[in-house]
Amino acid sequence: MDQLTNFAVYMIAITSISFILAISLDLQVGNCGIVNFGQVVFLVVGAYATAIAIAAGTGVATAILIAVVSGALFGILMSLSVRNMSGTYWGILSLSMAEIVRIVALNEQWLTGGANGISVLISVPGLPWIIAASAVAAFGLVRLLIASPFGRTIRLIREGDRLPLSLGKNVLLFKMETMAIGGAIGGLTGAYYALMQRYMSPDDAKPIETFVIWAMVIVGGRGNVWGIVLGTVVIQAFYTGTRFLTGLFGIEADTMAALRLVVIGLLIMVVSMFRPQGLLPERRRIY
Amino acid sequence: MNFVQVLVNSLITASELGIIAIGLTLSLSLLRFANFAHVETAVAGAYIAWLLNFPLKLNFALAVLAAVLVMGVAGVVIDRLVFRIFRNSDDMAPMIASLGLSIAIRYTVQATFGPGFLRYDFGIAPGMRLLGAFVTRQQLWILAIVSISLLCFHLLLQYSMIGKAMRATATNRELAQASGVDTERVIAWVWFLGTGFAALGGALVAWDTQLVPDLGFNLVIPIFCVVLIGGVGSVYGALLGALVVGFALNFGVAIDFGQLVNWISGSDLLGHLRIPADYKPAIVYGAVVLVLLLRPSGLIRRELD
Repeated sequence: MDQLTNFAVYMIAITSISFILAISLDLQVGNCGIVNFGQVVFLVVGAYATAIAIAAGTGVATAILIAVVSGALFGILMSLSVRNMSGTYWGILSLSMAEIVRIVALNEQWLTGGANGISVLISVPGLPWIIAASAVAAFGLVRLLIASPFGRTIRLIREGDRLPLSLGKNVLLFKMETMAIGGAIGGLTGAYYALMQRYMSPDDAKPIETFVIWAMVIVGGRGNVWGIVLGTVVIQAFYTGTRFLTGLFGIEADTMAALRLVVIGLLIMVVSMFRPQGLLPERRRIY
Repeated sequence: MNFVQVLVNSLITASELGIIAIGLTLSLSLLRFANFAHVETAVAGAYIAWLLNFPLKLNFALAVLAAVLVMGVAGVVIDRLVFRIFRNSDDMAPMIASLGLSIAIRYTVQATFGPGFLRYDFGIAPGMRLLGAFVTRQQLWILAIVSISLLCFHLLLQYSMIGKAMRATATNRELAQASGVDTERVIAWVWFLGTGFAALGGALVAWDTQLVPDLGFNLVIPIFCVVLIGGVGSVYGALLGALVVGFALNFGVAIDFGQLVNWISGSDLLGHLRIPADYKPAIVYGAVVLVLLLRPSGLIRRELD
């Protein structure tokens, strides 16, 4: 029974982390139209920032703050390198940047411990509940943000640059701000991830993690916060649930892991073909 | 640094990247979206060639040819099943769909063939020395095959009716359609050629190195950078981009930057300073950001016009 409770608490924490990462992606993709194929990079940057800060002797709160700030800075760096280019460039350059961070983490042993990873020798009491509360807070924050003038402007930018430019909006600055906020929220998930696993390694930085988050946003419904909730729960349940099938059908764990990702890929493809708005479409407000 | 050796290696890398990049640049030019599944079709082609060559004992050249044809047809099928829906949509929706497809193809390959590496069955010939550089026979074959393929493609694009129709469709699809070009037929040809070339390139890369499911993952960033450097949607730009990336990759890790600085400044401030080979993707990325800063639309803009 105790084991079951532990598992349930772990599931709540990991689902909350995925949700925060997904809602950060939705702010970029669903609301501002920024195609970020490197979303996992924020988790990676935040996690390493936390692990390194704690190894250097800071407190937990400071380490989390450092993670959030480094996530935001990395978001700004990403938008600086892509500037005003179209979605195609965003997709390719964000994917590349995430991969470069993984390579740096793998090679710079003095900083990140290389392939062996880096341990976080600290235990935070009640961490899963802090994470769950943060997920609720992130939900509220993004909802407020979307309803604000800022949210209206970035959704206008999503529909094309011309109109916001003619209204005197600085499109580049708004995109940069969106990436900074998205990056800060993503950096927070990194801090939680490192504190929960008490370990961070380049293996957790594979691009495929990004695509699982993408599946959550696409399947749930981009631009709709409730859609992201639904998408996160559905994809996370599928992802964890199928682990138990391994024993049932006698399929090898490796093959099962690959097949699971085949389904994730097909889901992204089929939903964007036949129901691009997702399960819960964005509600268009009429002013 | 053995200059000739690095030069030869750069040319081989460039030809491998160039032949795969053609299909990607064609789909960007005619269909206006970045096909993230393209590189995975190259890997799938390499595996089909292995399947025919190793377990089925087919001659290597025939196996590759068969894989090229199979993947060419598969490209047309993929277009009909998946991407036809997106003909008149923005560039974001098909890009996301292609990302999903690329994940599905990569992990189907991994589930079928396992994560380990495989090799083709062909006679082992000794390598040779050429002007002080060491070259294997495979690499000479790769240079020859890619050069001939590219020449054929150039002639097709410039002088055949289907090539002219391709260029017309790339310039303005509605206008081409109004002038009596069957654009759907042209698009089918583009998928056949692009995916076929990708399969050829995938098989050649795997022949030169080794065949692993992660091959596509290692290729995707260089291939996209080739296309971005050349100018999105430009075929000849992509070939130029392939040369830039090929040279940047090989010379980037071969040059001793510490000694270079010393030589330029005439001092001995620095010791040896090289970029580690693991940082190759960072070199390509740096090259792209640099080119896009100087020329935001790439080196050549829509040459196909």
